[in-house]
Amino acid sequence: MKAKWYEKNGPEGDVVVSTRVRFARNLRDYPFPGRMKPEQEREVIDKVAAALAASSIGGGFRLVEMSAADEVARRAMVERHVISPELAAGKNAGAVLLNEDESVAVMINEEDHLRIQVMGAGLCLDECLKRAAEVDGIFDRALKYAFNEKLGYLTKCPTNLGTGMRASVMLHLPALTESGAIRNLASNAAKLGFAVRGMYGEGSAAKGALYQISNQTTLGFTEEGTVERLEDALGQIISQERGMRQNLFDRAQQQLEDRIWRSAGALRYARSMSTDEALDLIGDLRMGVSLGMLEMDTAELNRLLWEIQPANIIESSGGKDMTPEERDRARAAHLREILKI
Amino acid sequence: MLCQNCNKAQATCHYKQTINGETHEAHLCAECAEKLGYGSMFNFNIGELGFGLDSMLSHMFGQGKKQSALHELKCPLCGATAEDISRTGRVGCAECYDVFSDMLTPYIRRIHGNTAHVGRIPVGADEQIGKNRKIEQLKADMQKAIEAQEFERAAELRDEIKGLENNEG
Ligand SMILES: [Zn+2]
Ligand SMILES: [Zn+2]
Repeated sequence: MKAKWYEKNGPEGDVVVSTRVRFARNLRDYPFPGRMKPEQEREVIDKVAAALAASSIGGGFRLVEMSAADEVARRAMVERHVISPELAAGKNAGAVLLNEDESVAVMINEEDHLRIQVMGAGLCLDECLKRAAEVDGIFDRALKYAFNEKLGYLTKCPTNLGTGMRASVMLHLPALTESGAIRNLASNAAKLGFAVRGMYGEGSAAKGALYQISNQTTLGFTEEGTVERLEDALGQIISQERGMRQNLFDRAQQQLEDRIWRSAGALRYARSMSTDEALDLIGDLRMGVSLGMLEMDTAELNRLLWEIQPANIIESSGGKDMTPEERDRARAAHLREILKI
Repeated sequence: MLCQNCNKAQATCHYKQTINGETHEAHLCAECAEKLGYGSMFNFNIGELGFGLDSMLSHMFGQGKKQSALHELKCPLCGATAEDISRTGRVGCAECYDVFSDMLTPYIRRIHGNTAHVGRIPVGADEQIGKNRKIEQLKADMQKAIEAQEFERAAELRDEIKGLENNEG
């Protein structure tokens, strides 16, 4: 199997885990998802898939229809952020077009007809935006987009009007979490037009000190301008997190060292481990690497953030049904195998 | 956009916040932002996140004065009614934005402010938008010509506008 996008190191990798840019697009001549007849849903999937297939990059993509994917596969894709929980739930007949390393995913018949998504390791907003715009261009030339001069790209939810763009960055903020400064982050980010959420979006708790920050404004701003403002805000957050980590190191080096090596020990030798515990321990290791306490490839730690999720563990263990206890044992085994610390 | 505080410098700092369902926006230059206390992200701790979208919608539409007229409207493409849109907070299709424009415009303003799209444009729309802008310009010119009692000129402009509008799409 080809390596996934998250198996690489990216810029500002000590704090930024990954970047995602998503465009919402709709076709002019079809009702939005939820108001289409089954034959229209079918037509939209076929048209979108055909448009990509006819393009120069089409050969690298596969079409996964939700109706043909089993529940574990769908949940695993949600955990890897390849599709949304809404698409996986299968209320509309939906599908996703995926490239080999899963860095590009085009959801079909989610809330909008198309959700074009590009992901990358570390902080790479410009690159993700550029790639998303390329894929957007393919569909733009082949299909008739719903667009209005004043309102921009027409979306099912009016909050997405304009660019229809959501740029979102996943951050690892253990020191800001520990110091309590994180509590102000959400409200301060909101003042700048950004939302802060946990790893799995709205309402999800920030497990493992992992947070997503994304733009809320889409109308009256260019894509590039939005990304620039997000980068400015991120610059502040990243330097705050680094400062807090150094502060923690200076104040309590020995306790910190002890904690990080204990976490390494548990990851190396445990026989059973829950997702939450694993996320916290992997977080400790990420911080230890950034402070020079242990030497490890951050990309190896990052891939585990995705691979240890419940449905991904089931999938990598052969795709059968597993009890939570069996999953915890399989998770511990996977961690031991990857982290030969 | 000019800074809404000093009205002199370009607004480079944009803030949006929702407190108890009310969205507050500020577009300020860096200096005013600093002066008014919008500076560092870490100095503040006010308010809650989220748009409270659905409640905002039902609130808005529930109080609409043109209720009865709205009740009879139905989108010809997707069949959505005003009630469908207000209940779900979601629009039925691209056409709905025209059909329910009166109802949606104030709502869209509340979410996004009084602003227009400035981002990417589809390839096909490029030409149409150019044409729309041209038509708007010609209409303004025609109005001026009428005011100046240059009726011959106004008639020429009217024909030009008609010509552009007729070969639309
Ligand atoms: Zn000012
Ligand atoms: Zn409609």
